[in-house]
Amino acid sequence: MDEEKTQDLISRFKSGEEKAFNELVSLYKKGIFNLVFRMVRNKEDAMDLAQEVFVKVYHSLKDFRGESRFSTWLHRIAVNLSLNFTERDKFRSFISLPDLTQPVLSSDSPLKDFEKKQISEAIDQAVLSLPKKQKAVFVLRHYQELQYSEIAEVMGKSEGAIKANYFQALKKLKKSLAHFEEW
Amino acid sequence: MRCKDIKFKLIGYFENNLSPEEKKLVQNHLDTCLRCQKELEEIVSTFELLKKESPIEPGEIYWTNFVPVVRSRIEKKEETGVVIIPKWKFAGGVVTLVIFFLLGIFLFKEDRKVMFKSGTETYSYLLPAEDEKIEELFYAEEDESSLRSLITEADRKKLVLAEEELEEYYWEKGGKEKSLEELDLKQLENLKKTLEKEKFKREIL
Repeated sequence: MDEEKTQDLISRFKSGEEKAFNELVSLYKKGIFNLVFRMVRNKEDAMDLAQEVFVKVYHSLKDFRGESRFSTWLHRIAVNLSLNFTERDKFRSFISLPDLTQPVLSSDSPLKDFEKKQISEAIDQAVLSLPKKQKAVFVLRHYQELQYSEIAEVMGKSEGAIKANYFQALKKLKKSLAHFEEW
Repeated sequence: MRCKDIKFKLIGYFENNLSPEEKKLVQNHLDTCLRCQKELEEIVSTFELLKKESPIEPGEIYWTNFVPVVRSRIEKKEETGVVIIPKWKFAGGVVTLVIFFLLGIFLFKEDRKVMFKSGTETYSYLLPAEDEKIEELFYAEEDESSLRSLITEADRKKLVLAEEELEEYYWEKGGKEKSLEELDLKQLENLKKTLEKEKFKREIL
């Protein structure tokens, strides 16, 4: 993401130009939706949460002093909101039916589509069952492709601890998905 | 290098994220160790499987309406009473609350005079604040949230620092089977003791 453009938009917003905030949202919305979706693993919830992230950003942006990069700060907000949501949502997911999120499927082969859906659901379950810190590290690294040093900044941990969390997360996923490896 | 040190570096090796020296060490180890070769194969196949995950697309309408919806949610929040209080007013409010709180404690202390009789004499004494805290802890032992409220912010910060120090120390040792969150109380206690011993050694050397 263009850091210079971001900084420009932030200072324009801080000096009262409301339109600059809209541009900032447009710049980051897809990345944040992807992050939030990979954290909560439910399309409807992710659609709602991604917007909530920017509502929170709007109210806090005036206090953002630029001590870290904007994207780091934004990721931190998105991760925290997602983790809080997952905690709150535990009871609901315990009593509700499985998520009805329909992944994008190519209809050229129904069998392949079915397999793909099965794999996606298994990955959803495996990621959701990770401890929260490991889940956040895994999502930031695997899907958001952040550097370990950036993740360390987002999570407020050392780089070594982040690498270890990623290793542990992958190990658990490997175990949960072992029966799919022949596919 | 031992297997447990190598295992920890296998993801970095797969991601081509190691220094040339580390890469060479891992490569040499892999040439002779079947167990680590298998571990690497499993990592590769897990990543392959993860690639098969379907992408999620919320639809064009969602993206078109994204900014207007965020805007209306911001406005709604402002209308429904999220009052932005200026910092100086907020600080003033906090100071007033603290004064009332301290006053409350003082009055509470006055009420906590304990009277007892010994023979014909009647004695009274003021229950010290420390005792009150202990008493409160005693009654709150079943209630974690009450206990938490008794921990001061400074204590909480100390706890966070101690946890971070423990976690870093744990991972520095490398090649762990479990994450810190998964250790039981006894293992955590042992880890804490080892860390304290090492800190002590470092201090005297």
